[in-house]
Amino acid sequence: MLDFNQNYFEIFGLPEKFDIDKAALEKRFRELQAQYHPDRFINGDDAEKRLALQTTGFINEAHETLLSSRLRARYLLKLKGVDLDDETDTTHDGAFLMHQMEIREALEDVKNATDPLARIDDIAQEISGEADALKDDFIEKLEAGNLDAAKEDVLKMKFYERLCQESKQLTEKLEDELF
Amino acid sequence: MAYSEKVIDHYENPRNVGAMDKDAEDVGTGMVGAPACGDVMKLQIKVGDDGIIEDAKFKTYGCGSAIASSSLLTEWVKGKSLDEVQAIKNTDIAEELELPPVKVHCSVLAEDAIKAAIADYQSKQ
Repeated sequence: MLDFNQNYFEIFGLPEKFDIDKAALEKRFRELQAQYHPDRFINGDDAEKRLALQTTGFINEAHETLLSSRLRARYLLKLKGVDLDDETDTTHDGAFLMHQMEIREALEDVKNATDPLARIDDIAQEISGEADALKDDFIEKLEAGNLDAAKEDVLKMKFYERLCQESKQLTEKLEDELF
Repeated sequence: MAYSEKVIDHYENPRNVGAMDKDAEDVGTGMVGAPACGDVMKLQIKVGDDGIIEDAKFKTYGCGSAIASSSLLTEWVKGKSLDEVQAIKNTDIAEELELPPVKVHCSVLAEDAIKAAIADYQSKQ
């Protein structure tokens, strides 16, 4: 039976750090899924069935958390005793928010560019470059034990997650229109 | 989820969209971000010598409720004193727009934005 006291990294046999081996994560995930699949307990008693369901739920949540860079970063902070509330905690960095506004404006203007696809490509690259820089900064702050600054980085990651989605959607929309 | 008619009206015909010079001394700018969804909202006020808000502008990248909350708020604050505006609560906005519970955080965002704009204006005086 799976030990629920293990943290998500332990479940997947991964070292507790931000950069993870995604192939190892997926491999172990499939193994765990097979091992604890509720179908295997179809002839068990109610308690066994319930436990199997709980276990797969736990495994899925652990997998989802480690797969997303923002959720993984957030979880690493949690392991260090820093909880953050998705409903109320946010960044108050005015310059950062102003820059976010500018990127949204740039995305909005893409349709007016002479070559919209080239323009969205440029913006998408800028976004992913800044998102990577944010991840690097998070790793640095976490390793230095500067947890407040690391938390601020995680809060900012939410905005980049959103920008990545929006630039992807816009690219798909432009491609649909052009081809 | 169905939006109320008031939200749809503000969403389709947003009032006071635009920007003012954020470096001007009589302009206060409030920038806020939404924790749950990564929306961004900018709300600006222009304050006259008598301390009354002469003009207000906003720009919001977010859902219909976030746009409606900021649009409504810019209408409300015009012609009011800073003290009167400080008294506006997010619940007033949520009630007027009939926001469902899952969208109440959009009105919180608007209240935070106007408070930040006032603080910015006051820091310049």
